[in-house]
Amino acid sequence: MRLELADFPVKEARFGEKTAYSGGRLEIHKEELLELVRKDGRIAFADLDLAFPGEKTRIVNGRDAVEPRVKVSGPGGVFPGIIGPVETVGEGRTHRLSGTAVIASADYAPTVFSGTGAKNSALLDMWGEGAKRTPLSRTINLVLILRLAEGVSEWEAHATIQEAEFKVAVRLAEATRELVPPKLEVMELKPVDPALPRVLYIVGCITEAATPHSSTALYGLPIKDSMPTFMHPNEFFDGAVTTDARRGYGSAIYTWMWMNHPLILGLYEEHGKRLNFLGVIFQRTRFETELGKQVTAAMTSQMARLLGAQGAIFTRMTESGNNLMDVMLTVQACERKGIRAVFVTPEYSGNDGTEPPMAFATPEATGMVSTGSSQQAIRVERPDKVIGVEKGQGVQLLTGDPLLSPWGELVLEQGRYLFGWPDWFGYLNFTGREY
Amino acid sequence: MAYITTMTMLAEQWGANRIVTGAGIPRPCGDPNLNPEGDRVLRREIVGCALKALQTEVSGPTVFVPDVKFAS
Repeated sequence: MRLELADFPVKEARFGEKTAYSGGRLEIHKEELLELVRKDGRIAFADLDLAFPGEKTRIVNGRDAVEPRVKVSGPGGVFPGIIGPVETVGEGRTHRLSGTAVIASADYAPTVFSGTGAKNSALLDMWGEGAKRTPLSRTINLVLILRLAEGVSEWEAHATIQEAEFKVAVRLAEATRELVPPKLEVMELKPVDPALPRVLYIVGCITEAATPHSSTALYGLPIKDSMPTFMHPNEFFDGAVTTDARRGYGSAIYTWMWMNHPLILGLYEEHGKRLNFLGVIFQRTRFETELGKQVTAAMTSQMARLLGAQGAIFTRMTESGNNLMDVMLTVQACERKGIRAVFVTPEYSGNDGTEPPMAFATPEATGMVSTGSSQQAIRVERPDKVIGVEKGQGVQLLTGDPLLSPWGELVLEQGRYLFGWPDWFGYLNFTGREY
Repeated sequence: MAYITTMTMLAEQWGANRIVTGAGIPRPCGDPNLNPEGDRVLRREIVGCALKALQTEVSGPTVFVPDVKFAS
C-alpha cells in the first residue's frame, strides 16, 4: 500500500472572502463553512473562531479535534464510514493542511448524567502551563462552536458534532486539491533488509460496551467487543480511526492524534533504517472478566507471533486499571512468546510523585517509557479571550459537576481536564524520573 | 476483610489478605446472562465463599475460588 501525503503547511490563517491556500497562508470563508454545518437540523447554533499558538486564549467545551485532510486520488475518502462509503483507505494521495486543527467546541443537553457514558469536555489553553501539555496548542486552530437542538440523543449528539467537524475539515483541505504541494511524503512499507528487527505497534484501546459510543471506532463502527485487529499504518493517516465526539476531557484521544500518531510516524521513519515496521495491532481492551483479559492477551500475542514480530511497542489510552491489566497481561504474553516488549505510558504517582505509578504490573514489563505523571495539579493563568461560551458564562467539565468559570486563573486537580493530557502516545516531552 | 473481585491478580499485588474471585468488574456477585435462579445460586456461592474466607486465618494475600463455573 502506497500513500502520498501531500503537505500544505499553514503558517498564517484569517477569515476572508473565499476559502483558499497560498504559500502557507490559509484564507477561510466563514459563511460558506457555517452553511455546510447549519444544514443539519440538529444544530441550533454554529459559529467559527480562530485561536493561535502563544496567545492567551482558552478554548472551552472541547470535544474532539481533527486535521484538515482530503483524498484527491485513490480508493475511498478520508473518514470512511462517516462522511463517505466504507472502503479500505491508505492508498493514493491525500492532501493535508499541517499545522492546523479543527476543534469541535460543542454543548447539548445531556441524557446520561453520570458514569463513563456521560459527555464531558476539556479546556485547551494556547499559552502557558496548559499549552505545554497538549500538541494542539502548537497548531492554528479553527474552533467550530456548536449548540445542539433540544432532544438529541447521546448518539445523535456524537454523530452531529463529528459530522460537522469532519465536513469543515475536509472543506478546508479541498482548497489545496488543484495545488502542487510544497512537500510530499510517500508512506509505504517497502521490503527491507531481512536482518532488521521486525517490530509491531500494539495499541490497547479503551472500548466500553455499555456506552452510546464505545470511544474508539474503526471505519465509523464503534468497537464494542472484538479480538485484536491488524491494520496498515496508512489507514490511520486517512482517518479510519475516530473517536467519541461527545467526550473531550483530557484522557481522551482525539481524531487528530490518531492521524498524527507519533509512534506510528516514528516507526515509519525508522523503517528500513533501524527496524522493519510490520504494522499496527488494534487491540480492544477493558474486558470485564479475568477470562476476557487472558483471552485478549493470548490472542494478541499469538497474532504478533504469527506476524513474525521480534519486538512490540505498547500503549494504552485511559487511566483505568482495567485497561492497564489487559495491556500488562499482553506484554507478559508477548515476552513469553519471545517477543520483546516496550510499554509507553503516563504514570499515576500522586500530586507529589511518591505514590505507586501503576495499579498493576507484570514482572516481564521491564522496558517501560514514562510520558510524565498525570496526577499533578496544574495552575493555569487567566486568559485574555475565551472561545466557546458567551462572556462570563461557566462551563461544565463533567456532566453533573458544578459550573466552572473559565475566565480566571484555575487550579486543575490532576490536570486531566486539559485537552490532550496526559500523553498516551508520546507526543510531548514529559517524562517521570526517580531521584 | 474479604475482597470480592474479578481482578484477583491486581488485588494480590496490592496486598489484600482475603481475595474472593468474583464474576465480572461491573457485577462482582452476579451474572445478567444467567436466569434469575442461576444468578441467585451464583451470588449465594460467591458470598458464602467470602464468609468462609473471613473465618480463615491467612498470612498473606490468599485467593479463595467459589465453587461455580463463570459462564461469561
